[in-house]
Amino acid sequence: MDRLNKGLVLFWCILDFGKGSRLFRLSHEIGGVGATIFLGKGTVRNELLKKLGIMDTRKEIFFTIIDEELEQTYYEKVNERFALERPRHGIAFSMPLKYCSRIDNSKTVRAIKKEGENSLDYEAIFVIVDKGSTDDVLEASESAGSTGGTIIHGRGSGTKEKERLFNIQIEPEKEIVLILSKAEKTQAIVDAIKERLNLHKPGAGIIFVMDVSRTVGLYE
Amino acid sequence: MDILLKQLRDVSLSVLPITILVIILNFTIIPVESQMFIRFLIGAFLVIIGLGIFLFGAHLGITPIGNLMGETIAKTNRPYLVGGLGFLLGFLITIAEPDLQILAQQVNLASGGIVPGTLILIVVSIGVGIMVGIGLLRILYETPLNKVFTLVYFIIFILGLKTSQEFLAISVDASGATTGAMTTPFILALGYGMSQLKGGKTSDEDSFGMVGLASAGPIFAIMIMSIIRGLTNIQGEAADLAVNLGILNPYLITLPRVAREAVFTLLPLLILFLIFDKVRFKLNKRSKKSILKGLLYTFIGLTLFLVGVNAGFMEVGMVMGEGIARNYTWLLPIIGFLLGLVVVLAEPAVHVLTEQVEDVTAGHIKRAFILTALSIGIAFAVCSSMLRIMIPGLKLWHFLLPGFALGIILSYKVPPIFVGIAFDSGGVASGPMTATFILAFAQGAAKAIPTANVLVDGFGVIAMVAMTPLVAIQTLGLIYKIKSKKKESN
Repeated sequence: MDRLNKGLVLFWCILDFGKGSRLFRLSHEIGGVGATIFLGKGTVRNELLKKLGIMDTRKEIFFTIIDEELEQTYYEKVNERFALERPRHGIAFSMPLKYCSRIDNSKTVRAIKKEGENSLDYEAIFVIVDKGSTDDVLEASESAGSTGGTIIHGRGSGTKEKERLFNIQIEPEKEIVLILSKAEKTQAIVDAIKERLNLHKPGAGIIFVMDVSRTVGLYE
Repeated sequence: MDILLKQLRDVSLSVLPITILVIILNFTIIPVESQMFIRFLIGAFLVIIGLGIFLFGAHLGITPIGNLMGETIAKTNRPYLVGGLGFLLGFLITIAEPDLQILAQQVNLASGGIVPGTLILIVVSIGVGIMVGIGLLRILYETPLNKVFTLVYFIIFILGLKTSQEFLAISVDASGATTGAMTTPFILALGYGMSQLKGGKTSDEDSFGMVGLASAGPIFAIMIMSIIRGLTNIQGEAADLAVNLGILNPYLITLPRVAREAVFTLLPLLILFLIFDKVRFKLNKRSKKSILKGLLYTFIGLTLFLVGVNAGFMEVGMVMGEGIARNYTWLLPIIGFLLGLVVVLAEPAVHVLTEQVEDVTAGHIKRAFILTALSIGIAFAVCSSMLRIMIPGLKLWHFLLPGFALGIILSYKVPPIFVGIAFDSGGVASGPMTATFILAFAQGAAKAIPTANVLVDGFGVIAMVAMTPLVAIQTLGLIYKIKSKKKESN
């Protein structure tokens, strides 16, 4: 399986609804390659609001894959723009990646598994593709031995997509497919999906893989 | 607290444009008397507060009820139950709609009792019921929306050829009356709940279109009624505005009436919710409480909003329409255009629709896109209505027929989700703000121009406001499609 020799991290940020597109722009300014946003709901802590019956508020969940060297810059810039250190202004966190097919092919990095690394049973494969391609993703992954997947609806901003309307950027609809796979099957599944969706072409979509430390509820 | 402040900022930004435009008009070309102007400012304040509370209420109460009912209906998965329950819900929420009851009374009076008010009520409610039933069945069978709309509007066109001018106007107005501030979010949420639970490839685009279908119901129902009963000729006049005195007096008169109407609109929804909850939802205490609170906010918000519009905006609209038509006739289309640009932003259901669009498309189709397209569409609607009032030879169908034809043709060219959003926008845009302020403005203008007919021209505005979004939103969809194609070919 392809491994990294250079650190890549998955950078996450959860903000109030409406701020996501600004984060897309900021991410481009910093030098990120592309990012994805999906919607969610956050809890409300204010007692008065709870009394009024307002229990949740719309959130945007942003994530992008960045070089380890950029991680510090991301935290600084995002914090500067969205004042995350102040309460209720949003949160950011990052996690290490195991493997990634980058949007920009020239940067694709392959590495050999480190010696002595603790090998775990399962891995999480994330595939981000244009809306409407999920059937292909699931078919390809099932043909390579996966048992199923979960689809999250989102929108993205890649380097290739810069169409504007009324001077507002059009951010294309994306779908995020999450597949949990046995570690020994991961490579086959990733290859099958890459093949089927031509992911070697820039802008076609990306795949990344993360370690999973424990699972429950999965069956063959 | 941030949430409340943000909400207040959002609604202020929606209501301030129309307020500022009226203030500018007042200080430049058409000064109104000072008491009326102060009443208008109070009205604008109430509209902002009311809209803010209403939207919280819709979010907590109406939308969850609609979603839950849609999901419940989808779970039955039996066509006769889906159609039957859809009919029942459509019928019950329509028959209680105060705007429709007022219209029924007016028609009853104008026809000298030949058309009983209850007949209109029942006929229109059946029309909406049938269309909601069809709308839900369509989601179940995944029938393309453009085909359904083609059929529906073809039938309306054929019926329209046999219907008299007056009943054409009444049928269009009944359509505007049924898609009220309360029913629209409910029907939107119903379709959303149904299609999201059903899932499948078309579930996103199927989340829209229900309001568009529901608002076609009254049109063909009234047309069929008038043809069967051989009704052609009724006399009608727009209700004359009572002279308002003092600053607070008009508010005190309007409040109890509007509050009563709001109760009547909410009642069927509340009762339906309690019945469904007993039988099906079985919600926990916390969720149930939250929904009931939501309905209470909806009531408070809607009352404040409608009081503000009725006691503060309507009169200014009529006076300004009349004044401009009398003194600066040539300015009428331009000011109509400007009013159209800003008025739609203050429509309650527009907020609910755009939020649903963002949720369904994960923010891909942004609120700003829909609002811009709607603003331009409504601006053209009001502008052309003013031209029609000024030029006697210009008839309503000169605009409606090509408009709807273009709307239908476009529905085969644009991404399906835009078809649903466009047809829904028609019902959403002709909400309480347009129905009072813009209608009053048009009637005022028609009064001042001798060749215009107050009744026919007044109703025509609503019809135009319901039509232009079809073209505007689908044009937006076409641009979207072209822009995405360009991306692929790169």
